[in-house]
Amino acid sequence: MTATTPVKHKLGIQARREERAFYAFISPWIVGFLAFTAIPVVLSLYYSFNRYDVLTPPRWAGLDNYTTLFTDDLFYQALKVTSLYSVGSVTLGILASLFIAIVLNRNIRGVSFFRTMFYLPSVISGVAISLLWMWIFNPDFGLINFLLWRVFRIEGPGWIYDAEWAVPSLIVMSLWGIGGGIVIYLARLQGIPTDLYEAAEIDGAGALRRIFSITLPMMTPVIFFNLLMGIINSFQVFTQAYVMTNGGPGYATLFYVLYLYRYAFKYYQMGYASALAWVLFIILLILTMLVFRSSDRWVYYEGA
Amino acid sequence: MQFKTSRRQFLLVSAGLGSLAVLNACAPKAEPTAVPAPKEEATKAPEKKEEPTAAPKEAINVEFMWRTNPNENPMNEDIITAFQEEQDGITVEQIVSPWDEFEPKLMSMYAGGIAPDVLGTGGTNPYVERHIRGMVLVLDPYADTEPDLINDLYEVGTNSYTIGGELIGLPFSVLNAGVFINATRFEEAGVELPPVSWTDDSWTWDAMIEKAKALTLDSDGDGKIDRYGLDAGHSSAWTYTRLWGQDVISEEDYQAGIVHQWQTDKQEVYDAMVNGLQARADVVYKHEVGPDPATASALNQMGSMLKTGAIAMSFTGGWAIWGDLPEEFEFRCAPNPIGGENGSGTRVKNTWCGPLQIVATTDIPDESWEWAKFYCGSPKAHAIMIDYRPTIPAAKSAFEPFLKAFENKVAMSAEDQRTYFEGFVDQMETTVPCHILSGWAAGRDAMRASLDPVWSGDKTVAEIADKMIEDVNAKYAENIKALGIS
Repeated sequence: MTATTPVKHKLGIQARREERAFYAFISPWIVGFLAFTAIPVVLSLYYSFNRYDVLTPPRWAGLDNYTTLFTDDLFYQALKVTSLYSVGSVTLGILASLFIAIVLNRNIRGVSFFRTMFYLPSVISGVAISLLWMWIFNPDFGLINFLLWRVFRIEGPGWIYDAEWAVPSLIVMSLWGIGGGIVIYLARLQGIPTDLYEAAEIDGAGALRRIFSITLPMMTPVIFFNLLMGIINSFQVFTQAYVMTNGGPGYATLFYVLYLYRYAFKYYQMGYASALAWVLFIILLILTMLVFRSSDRWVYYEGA
Repeated sequence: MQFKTSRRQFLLVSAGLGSLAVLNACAPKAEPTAVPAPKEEATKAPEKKEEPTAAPKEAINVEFMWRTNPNENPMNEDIITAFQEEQDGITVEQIVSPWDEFEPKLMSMYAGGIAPDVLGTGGTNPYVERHIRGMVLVLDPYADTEPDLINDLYEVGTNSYTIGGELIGLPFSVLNAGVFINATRFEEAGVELPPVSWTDDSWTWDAMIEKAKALTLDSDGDGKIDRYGLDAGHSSAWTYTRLWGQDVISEEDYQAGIVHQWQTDKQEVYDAMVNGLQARADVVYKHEVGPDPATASALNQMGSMLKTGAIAMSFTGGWAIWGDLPEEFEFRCAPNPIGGENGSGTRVKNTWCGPLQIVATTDIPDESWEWAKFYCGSPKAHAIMIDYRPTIPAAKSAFEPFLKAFENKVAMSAEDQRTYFEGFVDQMETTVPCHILSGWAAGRDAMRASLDPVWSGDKTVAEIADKMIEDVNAKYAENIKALGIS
C-alpha cells in the first residue's frame, strides 16, 4: 500500500466566513479565560517560589515556602479539619440526597412542592445561611438544643462553640445544601427504564432488592459525578468558617482555604498562600485521579 | 485581500492580547521599593511643586478611603463639605469598604496602581505594616512645617505613630477606655456606682468583681441568669498583662514597630500574663458574673448587651456608648480598674488612636496633607466628629468643646464627666498594639486560638500558656522572616 498524503481542502468563502465568526464568538471567553484564569494560575505558581506581599516586588525564595509549609503544624491541622469535613459532608450529603430523591421520585400529590422546598435552601447566600445557623446552633438559645431539651430532655452540646462538636456542626449544616444533588439524582431516576423494574417485579424482587440491584447501579454515574464535585467543593469550604467560627474554637474549624486566606490577606504573605494553593491543587488532583481509577469497579454505564 | 486565520494563529493572538490586558491592568502607578529599603525612597514626601502662573487650575480630587459605618460615613461627608468650603480647588471623595474587606481591597488597589490618596478607619488596621512596606508617606516633612498642629495633638497619638523616629500617621481621635456602666441596673440592684476618678485607688479589679456579683441575677425567676454584672470585653494578653503591671511588648519593639517576641521569658511578665488572663476567665467560670462566649454571642445578636441591659458593666472601649442610647436606661463611664492581686497592677493606660495615613503612591501629596491636616486639626472637623461620635478628638484644643458636647449624652454631672475624661487623658500612655505593630495580626490569631479553650472553660491559662507563647512567637518570627529583616 502506498502512503497517501492528506489533502488540504481549501475552504470556500462561506466556510471561511463561518470560521471567522466562530473565532470571533469564542474569543471573549478565550481572552477572559487567559486573562482571569490561566495567567493568574501560572503567576501564582511563580509567586509560590517567592516572598511576595503584593505591595512590594516578589523576592525569590526558592522552595522555602514549600519547606516551611510541610513543617507547619497548622498546615496539617487545616488539612485534617478539611479532610474530616469532606469525608463527613460528602458521605452524608450523597446518602441523604439519594434517599430523598428516591422518596420524591413518586407521583404523589404535592411532590412538586416538596421538590421545590428541598431545592430552595441551596440557592440562598452562604453568608445568610451561616448567620442563620449560628442562631440554630446556639447552645443557650438555639433551636436544636431547645428541641433536644423539650422533646428528649437531653442537654445539647456546645455545637460550634465546642471544639469537639464544631466540625460535626458544620457537617450537619452542609446538609442544608443537598437540594442540588437531589435535583440531579431525580433527573437520573426519571431516566431509568421502567421495564427493568417490571421485569424484576415479575421475577419476585422486593422493593429493597430493586433499589440495590437496579436503582443504585443505574445511579452510579451520577453518584460518581456528585462524589467528585462534593470532594472538590468540600475541600474549598470557606464561608461558614469565616462567618461563624473564624477557625475556632482553638483551631477546630481552621479550614484549609481559611488558612490560605489569612496568609494572603492578613499576614501579607501571598507567596506562602500561593504555595498553599498549589499544594491543595495537587491534593485534589490526586484524590480525583483515585476516584476515577476506582470508578471502573463500581460505576456502571449503560451500553458499556 | 482576504484574511485567513489558522487556529494556531488565533490562539497565539488571543494569548498575546490576554497577556497585554493583564499586564496593563496590573501595572502599578509607581514602582514600590523592596523591603527593608522602602523608608529611604518611597516614603519621603516629594518636593512641593511650583504653582503654575497660567490660568486657574481644575479642582484636585483627593480620594479618601474609610470603612463602611452608618455613623462615620455621614460624619465624613460633613467634614468633607466643611473642608471644601474652606479649600478652593481641592475636593475630597470618600471611598468606603466594609471593615473586613478593607485591607484586601486596599492591597488590591495598591497593587493595581489605583490606591486612594488618604486612608483612615479608626479600627484595628495594620498601620505599621503599611509603613514597613513603603505603602505610606513619612509625614515629618509636612509635620515640621506645622508645629502648632503637632503641638496641639496629644503625645500619645504622635508617639504611637512615630516608628523609628518617623511620623507615619496623623492621629484624629483618642478613643477612651474604661468601664461603661448601665446605671439603671445599679440602681435597681441597690449597688453603689463606681468612682469616676482615675486616681481613685479603691476601684480595683476585685472591687469590680464584687459589684458584678451583686448585679448578676435571675430577674424573672426561671432559674437562669438573665442579667450579668460584667462583660470583660478585652480578651488580649496585652491588656491583662498590663493590667497586672507588666507588658508583653518590649520598649524596643514599640520603638521599632515590629514585634519580635513576647518578653514572657521574664518571670514577672509571664506571671502577670497568666494571672491577668485567668482573672478574665474567672469572671465567667469562677465568679459567674459574666456570660460565656455562646451566651454573649446570642445576646449580642439582639443588640449591645450594655444597651439592652443584659450586662451592667462593660470593660471595653468607648464604642460601648456610641450611637443611640435607649431612653429606658441611664449610662455612665468609669475608669479602668487597677488590676493585679489586691490592686497591685495598673489601669492598663491604653487608648485607641485612629490615624490618617497618606499613601506613598499619591500624585497629590500636598493636597492629601491639607485634607489630613484639616481632618485631624481643624476645629470645624472636631465639632462634626464630636457630634457624630462621643470620642475625644486627638487635638488638645478640642477637649473643652468635646466636654461641652458630651454633657447630655450620659447620666453624669458635668463635674463627673470632666473628672473622668481629664483623668483618662492624663493617664493614657500608649495605643493598643493590635493597631500599630507589625506582626501583631498573625500573633493575635495564634493567641486567640490558644485562649479559646480558656474562654470556653475547658482549660486554665496555666495549661495553655507555654504553648500559646511558643505559637505566638513563631508567628512573629515568621513575619520577620517574610519581611527579610532581623
